[in-house]
Amino acid sequence: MTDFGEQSRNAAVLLRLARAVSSSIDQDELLDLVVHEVAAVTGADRASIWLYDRHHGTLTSAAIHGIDPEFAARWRGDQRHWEDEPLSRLAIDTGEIIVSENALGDPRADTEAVRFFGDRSILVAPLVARGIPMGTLYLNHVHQHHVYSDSERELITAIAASVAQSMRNAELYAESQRRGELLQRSFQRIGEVLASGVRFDETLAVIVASAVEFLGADSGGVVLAGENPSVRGEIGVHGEAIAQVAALLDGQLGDDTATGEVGSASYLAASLTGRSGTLGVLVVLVADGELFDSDAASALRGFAAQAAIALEDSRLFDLAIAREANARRRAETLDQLNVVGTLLNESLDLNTVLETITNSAKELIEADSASIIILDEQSDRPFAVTAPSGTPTPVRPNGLTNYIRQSGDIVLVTDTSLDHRVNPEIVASGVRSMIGIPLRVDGRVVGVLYLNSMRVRDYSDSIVTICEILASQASVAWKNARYFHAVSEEKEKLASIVENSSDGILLIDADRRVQAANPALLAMTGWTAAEADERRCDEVLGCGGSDQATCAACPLGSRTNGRLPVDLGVWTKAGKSLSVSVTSGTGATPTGAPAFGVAVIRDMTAVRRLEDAKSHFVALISHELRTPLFLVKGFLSTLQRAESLGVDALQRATFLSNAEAAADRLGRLINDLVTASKLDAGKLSLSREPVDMSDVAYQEQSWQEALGTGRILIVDVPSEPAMVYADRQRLEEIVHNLVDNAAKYSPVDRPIRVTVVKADRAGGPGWAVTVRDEGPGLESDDITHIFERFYRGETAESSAVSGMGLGLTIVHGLVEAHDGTIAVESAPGQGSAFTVTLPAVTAAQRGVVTLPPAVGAAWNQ
Amino acid sequence: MEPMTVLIVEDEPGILELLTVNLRGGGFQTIGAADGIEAMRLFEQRQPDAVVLDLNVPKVSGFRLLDVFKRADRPVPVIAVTAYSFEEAQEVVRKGVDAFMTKPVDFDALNQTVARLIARSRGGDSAGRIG
Repeated sequence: MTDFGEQSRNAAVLLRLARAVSSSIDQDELLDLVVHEVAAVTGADRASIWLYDRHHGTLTSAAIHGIDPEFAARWRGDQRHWEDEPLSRLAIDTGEIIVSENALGDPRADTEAVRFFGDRSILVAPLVARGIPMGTLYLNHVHQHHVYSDSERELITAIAASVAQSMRNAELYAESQRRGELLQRSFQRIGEVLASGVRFDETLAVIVASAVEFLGADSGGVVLAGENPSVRGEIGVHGEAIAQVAALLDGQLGDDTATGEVGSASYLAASLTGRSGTLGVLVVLVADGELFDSDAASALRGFAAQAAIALEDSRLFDLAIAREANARRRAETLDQLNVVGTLLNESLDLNTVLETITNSAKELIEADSASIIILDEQSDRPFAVTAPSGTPTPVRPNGLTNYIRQSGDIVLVTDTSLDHRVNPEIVASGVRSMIGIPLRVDGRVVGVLYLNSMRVRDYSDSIVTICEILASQASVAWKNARYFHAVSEEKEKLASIVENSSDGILLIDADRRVQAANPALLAMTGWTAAEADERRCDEVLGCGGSDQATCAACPLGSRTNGRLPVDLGVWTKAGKSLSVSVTSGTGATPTGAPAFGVAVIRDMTAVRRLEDAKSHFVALISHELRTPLFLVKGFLSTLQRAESLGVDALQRATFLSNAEAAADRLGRLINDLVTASKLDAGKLSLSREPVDMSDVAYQEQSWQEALGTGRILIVDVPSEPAMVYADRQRLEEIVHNLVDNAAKYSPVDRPIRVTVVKADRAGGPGWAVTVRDEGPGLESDDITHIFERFYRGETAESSAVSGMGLGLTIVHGLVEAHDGTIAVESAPGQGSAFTVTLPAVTAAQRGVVTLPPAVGAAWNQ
Repeated sequence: MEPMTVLIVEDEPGILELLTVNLRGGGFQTIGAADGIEAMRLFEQRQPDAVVLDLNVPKVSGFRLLDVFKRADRPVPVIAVTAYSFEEAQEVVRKGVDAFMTKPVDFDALNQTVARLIARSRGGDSAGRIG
């Protein structure tokens, strides 16, 4: 059926469409062109393309040829449900062209439309790209039934494939663009557009807009060099003036910038210099007497450099597309480049980036192997790292890599055995031909992309161009990956600090919901990470700060000005109260609204408790010292005025001894303080000797009697000497303090018992002295605190028992200094028993000082 | 004239003795209580003209005692004697004592203060009657 004329006509149509696909016209224009061409070639009265929305199951009219333009404009965007279009469904499902020869009687056709337009026959071609349905192409004949020839069907199939691929590319492009934006928001807008490297005008527009904004200019644009200079990426209202500036400079600029006046405006212009020379000029203008400063020139040069890169990339791209004859092949190249672009946008990990590029390059130009050499910038002598994660090897001075590094040239080696620059090892491995493309960042060669083949091979211009595009994308992506790597390294450092901080760190969002909490905070509050997540911060901290306006510590609130710590009372999940110190900070969105808050929370509970105890102690000391001091001073001053007060001689004698007793009491208090502070500083020195514990217990009885309180003290000691190795004076102090304590906390008519018994311990034989009273006893809560300094039981606080709370602390410290142990046995209403156990004197210790036999004998009776 | 009676509430025997000797030397009659219950009993029975009060005595808290003395049918001046610091003593004044003295006490000053406060309360009484 096909003849030569038809074939050449078909080829012409395909060529026109191929050109359309390759030029950077937009999707709508392309589809319009397609329906127009297809209608012309098949004689169809109408041709239309419908886009299939895979997510919503709808078909949307995208281009239509053959109806009134006004009507067509309204019709564009018309939406049908997939289910209502059996012809389209059939075409997509089968992947075949479906033809309805007699539309009017065909139940699969849209009866209403068929009647409205008077369709005789309908053809539906599926638009499927790599198995993904993109839409359908409709051809409708109204005036006569049309029978499609094989050649027509072939042409339609080819066009459909090409259009579908182009639609898919546009979709991938949009997708990669979207992902790129998400991932790279922190990178420059310009870098982003450069990385995609496809939409030339858009890239220029972004660069010009950035330059105008950055320099505070009123307008700007790029004028491309060539036979027909045109202003591109124009911003503002000075289009003509920009063209004038370009004409004025007319290639005279070289690599430099120029400034001057055109009309009433001042201009600043920078040359766009590419590898192949001057590409054009970037011009910005300010109106009415304003001028650009000297910094502006270097900034504009930076923007011009970026524009030049974009321009070159774009030209290379156009060139590549134009030179490829086969539309399908071309579409696949585009697709592949898009996939590379997408992957590069997705992955900022350097090794992944390099691997993606080498793999894609290999596939695209059918190389047998590919590698990227990254040149180490730090060392004078460049080192090469073969990606991914190769070991560094020195670059050979006369090697190919060094040549490319220095010259910046693309090198094609069609036969490696004939090129002395190629590493002999590479030749030995069987590589016969290769292409090396420099990777440039900021004008410097930072690496080389090598593509190797195992056969002698010629490289076409289009292959070189594709490689250049890959290399330019690789350079930008590599740069981004480097930034990303630096950023993530910083992030990791930060994360490690946060993880290991002993202070609690809490991150909240603008709604004050917990976004992250470090282990210290979780340990402090008792919440798990999962429980705390997304909970309100006041709930996690139990601080009762119900909103940011009232919470003094809220990082988002206006009340936390600066970084001064704020004291806050919080409750743990288990209901324990903590006092914390909170230092806050915020992060803001680009518009300045608070985006998140960080609170560093330090548990000050123990510190505060100690502070409280200290201030309490000062008060206590002053109180405790004042009483005996008053007694001493009071009795002395009273004695002085004895005459006038009518104090008799007997009273005077009593007053004197009272004053003396009070002075003694004062002395004891001071001794206690000194002992406690020595123990605290670990500076207590003991002069130890073998001492009979029973002896000390008896001494205690005599003191008690001397005090004359009338209390009964019962002492029970074993028949053998209870020899311990101790500082006698300190042991006396231990027993005395325990008895004193018992006397303080038990009624005067109840006896105090002091018992000495043999008590073998894990560490060897020992002796124990127990002081037992019949007082109110201790709550278990009190027992745990009883040896803490300045601690006085609830009973002592509420009643009038005097004392600094140092007695038991001193006992505890002294016992520990003697390598002994102390135990408390007590319950409310059961009295208390304090037992001090000290190690028995060893033979060696006994040998040092011999106990006078008389003393031992006396106690043995 | 009948000597004024001062109730001394003090649990430390030595201090009770000192206050007693010195107040008597200043021309007052004294009665002593070593704890809060004793103090309330004596206050009721003997209706003293002034109270010298150690706020830290057993059985009944000093502030509770203060409340009792100030709310009586015939309120009397209360002079607190405290071993705490000046700052803490100021807190005591806010709770309603008429004067405070920190230990060690200057006995002459104590006698003068007691005499002045009794005179003032008497004056207040008569002024009240006239008004």
